[in-house]
Amino acid sequence: MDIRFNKRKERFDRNFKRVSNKTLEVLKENDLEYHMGYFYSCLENLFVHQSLDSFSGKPIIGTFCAMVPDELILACGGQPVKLCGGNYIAQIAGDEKAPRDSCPVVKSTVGSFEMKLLPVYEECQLAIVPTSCDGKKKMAELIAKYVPTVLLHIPALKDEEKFNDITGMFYGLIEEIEKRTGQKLTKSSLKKAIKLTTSINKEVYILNNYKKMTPSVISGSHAMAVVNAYQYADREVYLDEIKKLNKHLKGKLKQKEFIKKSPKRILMTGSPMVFPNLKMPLILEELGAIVVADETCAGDRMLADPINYRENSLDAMVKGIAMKSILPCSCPTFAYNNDRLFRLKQMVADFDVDGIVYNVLRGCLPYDFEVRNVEKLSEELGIPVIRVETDYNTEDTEQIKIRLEAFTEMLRMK
Amino acid sequence: MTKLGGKIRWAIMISAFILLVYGGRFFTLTNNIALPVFNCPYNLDAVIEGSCLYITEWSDYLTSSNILADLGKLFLMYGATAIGILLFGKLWCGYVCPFGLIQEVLYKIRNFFGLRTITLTQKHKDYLKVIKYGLLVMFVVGLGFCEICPVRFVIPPLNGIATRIEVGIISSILVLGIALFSERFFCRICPLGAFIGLFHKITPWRIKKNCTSCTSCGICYEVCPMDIKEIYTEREKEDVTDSDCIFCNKCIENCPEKEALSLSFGPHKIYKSSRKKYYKNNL
Amino acid sequence: MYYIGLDAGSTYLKGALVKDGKVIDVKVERSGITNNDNANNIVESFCKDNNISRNDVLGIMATGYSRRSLDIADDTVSEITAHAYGIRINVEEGLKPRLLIDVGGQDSKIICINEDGKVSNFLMNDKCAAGTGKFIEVIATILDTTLDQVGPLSIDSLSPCDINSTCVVFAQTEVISLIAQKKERVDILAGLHMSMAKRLAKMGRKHASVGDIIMTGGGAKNIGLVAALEDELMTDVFVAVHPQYNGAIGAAVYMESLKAGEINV
Repeated sequence: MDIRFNKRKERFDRNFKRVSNKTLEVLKENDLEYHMGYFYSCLENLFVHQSLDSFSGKPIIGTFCAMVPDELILACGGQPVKLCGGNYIAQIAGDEKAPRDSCPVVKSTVGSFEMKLLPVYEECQLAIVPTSCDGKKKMAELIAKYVPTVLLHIPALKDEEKFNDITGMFYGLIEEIEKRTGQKLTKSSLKKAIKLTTSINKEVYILNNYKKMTPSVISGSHAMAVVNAYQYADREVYLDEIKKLNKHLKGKLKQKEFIKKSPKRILMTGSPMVFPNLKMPLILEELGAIVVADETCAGDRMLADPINYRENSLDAMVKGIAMKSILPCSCPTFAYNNDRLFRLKQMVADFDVDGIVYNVLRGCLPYDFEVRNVEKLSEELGIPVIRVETDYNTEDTEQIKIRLEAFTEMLRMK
Repeated sequence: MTKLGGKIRWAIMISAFILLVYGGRFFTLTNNIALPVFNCPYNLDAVIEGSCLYITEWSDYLTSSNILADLGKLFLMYGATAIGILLFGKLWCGYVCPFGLIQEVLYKIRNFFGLRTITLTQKHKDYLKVIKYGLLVMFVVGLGFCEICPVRFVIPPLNGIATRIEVGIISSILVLGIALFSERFFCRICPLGAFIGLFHKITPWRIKKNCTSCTSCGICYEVCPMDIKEIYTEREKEDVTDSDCIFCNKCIENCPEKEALSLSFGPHKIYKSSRKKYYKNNL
Repeated sequence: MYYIGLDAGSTYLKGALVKDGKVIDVKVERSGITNNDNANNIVESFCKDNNISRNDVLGIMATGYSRRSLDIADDTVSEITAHAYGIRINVEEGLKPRLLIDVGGQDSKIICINEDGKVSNFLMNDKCAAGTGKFIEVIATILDTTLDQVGPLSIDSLSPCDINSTCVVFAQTEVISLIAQKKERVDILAGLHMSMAKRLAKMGRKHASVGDIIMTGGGAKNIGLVAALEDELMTDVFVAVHPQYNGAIGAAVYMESLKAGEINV
């Protein structure tokens, strides 16, 4: 290895760990006996100790966004891992490869590959990139030189009629995955994989039911960490652990161990907040609000919709997976994304939301385009919304705090 | 998905089947009642008959002076049908029609063996609609529908009534054969269904949709045996009852969102979709 | 029942004494490492100059950049909220403040206020010096004048210069070249104010239509800037009665409202 590369890598590794550790420390400090030990260890093992201990040991297949189905990977005996980057140091590493105005997710992903910042990037056998936003499409080209990359074509218009063609594409994806894992997909393995993810989906639904309650038994940033940890875990172990967590929360509910008395309830929406970039929810909670609802793709939205299929055949199952990956997805990279407004409206009602915080990552145009629609919706619903633009840098923390503090005061005065 | 969602519906369907097809073996009535389902009156044993014959041969029955004198019989034939249609609409199709049960059983057998299905596109559906309304005209005008009716060569023989082999047996075999691979195929061209469907705007049983909680996941469209797309694409109106809908309620059973779809009687929501039910049915 | 509001800004520490919704007294000290001592001085001199005892002061509320460092304060509130409360009493009779433009030494804010006097929306510029008092200070130095003179000087200009640079540092260079072109000082200053007004108007134009616009902060004392903003927005812009003390007044009024139970926090 190049001597300069090694020195550089040492420097990046050192700082990468520090940034990841900082978020974990804050989470642990604010922990109110949630019994989240497993989830912390999942994140810690990967992001701080750079080990693959929490994984299943199966071949690692990388995914992005919410449109690449984990079920196909699990059914082929692989370990799905989301490769979207969330670390500021990785963003700096990627600054040289990706354009200055591209979003930090793209930059940190490229940077992680370039500097081999995590073993998942080194050991990744295949990267599946959906053609969601422009950034992702061009990022696929950049990372193709580090890892075999396959693009999954996601149509910009959701047209149910074309779904047979789209299902064909997912079959193509299965072939690529099978090549890397060396295990063929069968009807029963796919059925098992779908059952596994549906069970996890159910547990996340139950967790969300706890978040819907006033007052709350768990804070939003911790729930976000739980859902974030899904990407970096052996899915079967994760299912057992989240079941235990839900049982524990049920106990807390019975004992009436609530968080503060009536803090203001926030819905977070907008660009993805990938671990360790939990800057916004942590700041909000520092200022005395609570993030109860999460409409971001790295958070709850990944596990919000279950898969259903019309009958007991492989075709129906693959079609069901294809449908679930595309149709209910409220990502603004789809044209005419009005369904997202319905989803937000329903969430505001379900979670009893007082205010919406709209997070826009610098360079993320699709989410920025939809700010006006959400502003109009929030006016209709009579609750305030604030747009906050930031990236992974922590230098603007003070400025964000000033704005969010004024926002939470605005909510309290209503 | 193979699951026993809609147990109530199956229970009603099976009891209706036994009552309608084999009813004659258990009891008799002075006059038979006619209900708007396809229970072939050629099943001479039946006490509850399908009104199909009486609608298609209405000219024969209504002009014959005997009938008009016997108002009671008239009521049981046409009155029951009329009230049945106005009160329940196409609920008969999904909950009572014996031919419907036969088709669903065939489809379940195919599902058990994991055989592939025939997927019909919207274009196919449009062609079938033409056939449906053609058959409706034929049915109402009385152009000898019974000669080609597929039910005639299925239900009476099931009850042990001998039936003359006519041209119509080809249609029976054809329809049953396709119904094995395409769910409830006959219902797409059923003239009696088309007839009842004409009244779909005024019947009290409705499918209602809550467009805010709907996430456009498309499952309702995917499982609908009649391929009704409007139930998935509608984003504004609350009432999504379609004239093709046979009220099998598969859309509601498979909908994962809270009260996004519901079967309602007038303003009262009776059977609502919910995430909890969804998990119970699918895990 | 007196209340004191303290606005701990980056350059100045301002204090206001309020009673029954009326401003009794205002004071200012320079900010520094000894902010706590300065705050204590302000509180003491309020008591001495107005013949009241420390016990007559029922609450001290701090706002501003370094509000949390003032030990003497009972509580803190953000500047945005403080400004909205301040403007309720800090304007002339008959005005209904709906948009507040605060031009400080190192930041500028636009605050939208609804009929109930509560904050309905806000925008801040704290990332770039253009659009803050710093801009004027820098250019005033080059033109050999002071902050309080730039306003009266610029108002007489008949042909203001165009200053195009968006960055304070580059604007300096532009001004120097204008001097070399023998442009008049009044015209350069007028151009400077126009440039700032454009920046502020860009931030606030969308919200400007619903009622009276009030300016606060050090920038509001600059009649040239107020005039330029009026010209840019094409509507009247009023100045608060005590423009630099709006934050402190607001903090005190907020404290009064809290104690009176008018607000539930």
